[in-house]
Amino acid sequence: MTNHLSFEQLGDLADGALHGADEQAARGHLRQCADCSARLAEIGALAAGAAELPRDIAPPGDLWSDIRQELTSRRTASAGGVAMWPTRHLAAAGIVIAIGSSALTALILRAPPTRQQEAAQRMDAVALPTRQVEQPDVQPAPSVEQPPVPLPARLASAEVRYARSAGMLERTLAERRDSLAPSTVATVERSLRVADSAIAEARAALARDPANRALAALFASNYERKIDLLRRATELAPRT
Amino acid sequence: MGGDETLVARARRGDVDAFEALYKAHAGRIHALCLRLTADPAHARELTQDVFVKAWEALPEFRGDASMTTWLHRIAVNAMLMERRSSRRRDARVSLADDDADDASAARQGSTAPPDVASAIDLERAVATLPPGVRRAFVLHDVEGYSHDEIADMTGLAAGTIRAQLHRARQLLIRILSP
Repeated sequence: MTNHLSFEQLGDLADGALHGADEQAARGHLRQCADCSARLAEIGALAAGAAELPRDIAPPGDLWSDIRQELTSRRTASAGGVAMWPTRHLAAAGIVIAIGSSALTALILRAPPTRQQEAAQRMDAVALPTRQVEQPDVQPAPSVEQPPVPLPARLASAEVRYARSAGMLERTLAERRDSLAPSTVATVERSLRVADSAIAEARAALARDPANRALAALFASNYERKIDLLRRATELAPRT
Repeated sequence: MGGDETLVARARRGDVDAFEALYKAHAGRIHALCLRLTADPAHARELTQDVFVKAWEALPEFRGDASMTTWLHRIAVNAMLMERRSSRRRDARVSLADDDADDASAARQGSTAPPDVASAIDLERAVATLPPGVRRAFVLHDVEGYSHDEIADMTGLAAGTIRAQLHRARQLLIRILSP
């Protein structure tokens, strides 16, 4: 008797992924080998059992209301978002963002992470790259958008929210950059690079020493400076 | 699905009620997939929510050349992959071979599992003990019926990798479910 068929060969045979001479040789072996035939039957039974598992499993009944709430908040943020607002409203938006930023600072410095925040952070972390695809020309340094070093969940959650606020303003600024003088664009971009570099530096230090409250405050303050810079730059650029 | 097309068109225009109808039509399939991919009901709930929120945002990109279910499955698989990559970045201790370490754990759990291969409940439990990568391959291939190539396309992995993961999943499951 020739050598037994490997589990991989048997699996491929069961999946119809073994062809030609290989398939013929395998089937020839199976005719003589009860062990391999039994193993093939096991694989077949397993696959058949899997195929019969229920395809539908109802989600929790209250899930749709959570989704609807999320959709509504996102629709408000995008359809009525910063990019759509008249310039005179941007100052107010900046205030809202600044208040949000202050709240985030408080979150960074005081609040322990809750399960909901952890979940929100996971979801936001998943959602962010989609937004990044839409990001136009004026971009922060990649090190800020896709941090190389992990932060504790509480800080990472706050960072996601900062990045979201900054992203909104960056998109608006990018849409309006043509209305700015080239020298202004250059100045803004240079300042943004400095801000991003400061954020990245504070972030790296914080990743090494996550319990350091002074570093956490510096990290938050650097992000707030960036958001303030973006807000001011956006105010300079009239809506086209 | 003809009804989906109308609902998708309405949902694209911002009609949340139309999207709710799409949710009702597909939530069971998606939640089942999420439950099996995550092996954790709380996580599955979050992932299901994430899938539909992402789908809402990505509706303008849905061309209808794939079925809505396949499209939603792809979103779920991608979301799961991104979570795994993100959690790997967060936890530097996790090595690329974490599935190997989990193999031993899955096999140990199998030693106390009920041996009835025919039981769907036992099979569900056994699938839940698999390491994430091989579990994904098994769920997408043997439960959902996607081909190696389709799963490779969905996950961005090579078809050969998917086949290897599927073989490992089946080996582990047979070991777990055997008397």
